[in-house]
Amino acid sequence: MTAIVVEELVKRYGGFTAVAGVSFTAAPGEVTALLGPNGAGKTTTIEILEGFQDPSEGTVRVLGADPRAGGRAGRSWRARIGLVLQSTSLDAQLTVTEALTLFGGLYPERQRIGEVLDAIDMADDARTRIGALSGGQRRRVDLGIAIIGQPEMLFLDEPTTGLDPEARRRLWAVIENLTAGGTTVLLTTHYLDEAQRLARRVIVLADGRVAADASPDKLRAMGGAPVIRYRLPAGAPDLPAGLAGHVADGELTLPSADVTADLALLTGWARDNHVDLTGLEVGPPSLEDAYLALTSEGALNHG
Amino acid sequence: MDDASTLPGLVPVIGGQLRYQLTLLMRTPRTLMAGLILPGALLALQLGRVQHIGQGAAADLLAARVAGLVVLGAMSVAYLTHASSLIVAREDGILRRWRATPLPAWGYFAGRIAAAVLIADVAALILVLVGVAWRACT
Repeated sequence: MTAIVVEELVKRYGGFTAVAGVSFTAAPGEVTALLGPNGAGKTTTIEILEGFQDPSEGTVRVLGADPRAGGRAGRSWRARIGLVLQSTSLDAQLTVTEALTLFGGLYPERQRIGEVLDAIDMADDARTRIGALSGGQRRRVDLGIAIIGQPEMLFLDEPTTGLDPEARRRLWAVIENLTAGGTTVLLTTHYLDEAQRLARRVIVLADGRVAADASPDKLRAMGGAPVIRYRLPAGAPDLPAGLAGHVADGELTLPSADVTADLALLTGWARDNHVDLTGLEVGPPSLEDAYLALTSEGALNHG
Repeated sequence: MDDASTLPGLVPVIGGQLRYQLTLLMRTPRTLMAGLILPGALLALQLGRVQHIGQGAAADLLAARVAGLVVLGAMSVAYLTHASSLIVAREDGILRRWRATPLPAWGYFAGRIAAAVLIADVAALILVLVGVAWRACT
C-alpha cells in the first residue's frame, strides 16, 4: 500500500492559491523530502496531509485514509501517525518523562519510556523540566512524543531549524534509526544537506507546484553541467581568462560543458605557476545548485 | 492497523488528562496565589474586623465573608485555567500538539474542567475549615 497519495491538490485562501495542483505519492518505509522556498506551499501541503486543513480541490490519502475523518476512525488513524510540528509546542512545567508518559497513554501500542529516552538520547535529562532544556533537546523531546506511539507514518516539518550542527546530526541519527525500522517519513526542510543525507526521494515545490520529483542524485544531475570546484590558495596568480570569470570568494566554481578541456587549462596554469591543486573537485552540481536552478525565477517561468 | 476498539477508554483518557492538568496548575504559582493565597489573605484581614462585632452578627458576617472568598477563589482558578491559560496554550501551539494525537477534544477539555473544579473545591474547603476553626476558637 502506498503511504501517501496526493492527487491534483489545490488550496486557496480567498483569491490566493497556495497549492496549485500538486500530485505525488510516497512509498512506505522511505524518507521523502519536500523542499522549496518560503511560500512554495510546503507547510500548507503537509498540514493538509496531517488533517489540520481542508483541501480546496483534489484528493489526499494517508495510510489509506482521509486525514479529515473524525470520530473513532479519525482517532484510530491519528494513532498510526506521528508529528513534529514546525515549532516546538510543549508544556514547560512537565518533565521529559512526564510528557512521554502522558502522550504515550493515548496510544494502543507504545514504546517503553526508557527505549524512547535512549532513542532520542535524553536518558540523562529524563527528570528535567522541559522549560529548562535547550532548543535542540526540546526538539528531541518533540520527536520522542512523535514516535512513542510507534507510528507507521511520521511527518517532520522543518525538524532541525534553529539547531546547532551537532544537535542536527543527533536528530538525523534518530530519524535514520526510525526509517531502518520501517517508518515512513515525510520531511520538509530548508537544509539541502539534510535532504541529501536522509531522503531517498526529493520533491521540490515552487509557486505551489511540483518543480521536480526525483532521487537526490538524479536531482543533482538535473542541475545542469558537471562542475569543477577549486579553492584558490592565498596569493595564487590570476587564472587564465576562460576561468577567471568563475571565481567568487576565492573559489573557482565552473559549470563545464567540456571537463577535459577546462581541466587541461587549469592544470596547465597550475604547472606553469607551481600551484598545488589539492582540493580540486569535479562532479555533478550540488543539490543546492540543482535546487537553485529549479526554483530560480527563470526556471519557473519556463516550466 | 490498530482497531479503534484498542484505543484507551474513557477512564484512562480523563484520568491522564486530570493528572496532567493538576500537575500544570500545581506547578504554576499564580494558580495557587489567586485560588488560595489571595482569598486566604483577604479572609485573615476580615477575621480581624469580625472580632470586634457581637457574637451572632460575627457568625453571620464570617459566613458571608467565607462564602464570598470561596467564590473569588473559584473564579480566579476558572479564569486562570480557561480564559487565560487556554489562550496561551493555543498561541504556543500546545492545542495543535494535542490535536495531532488520538486524544478526543472532549478529553482535553474534560481534564481541564475537572482539574479546575478540584482545585477550586480544595481551596474552598481550606477557607471553610479556617473559618470554622476560627469561629470555634473565639
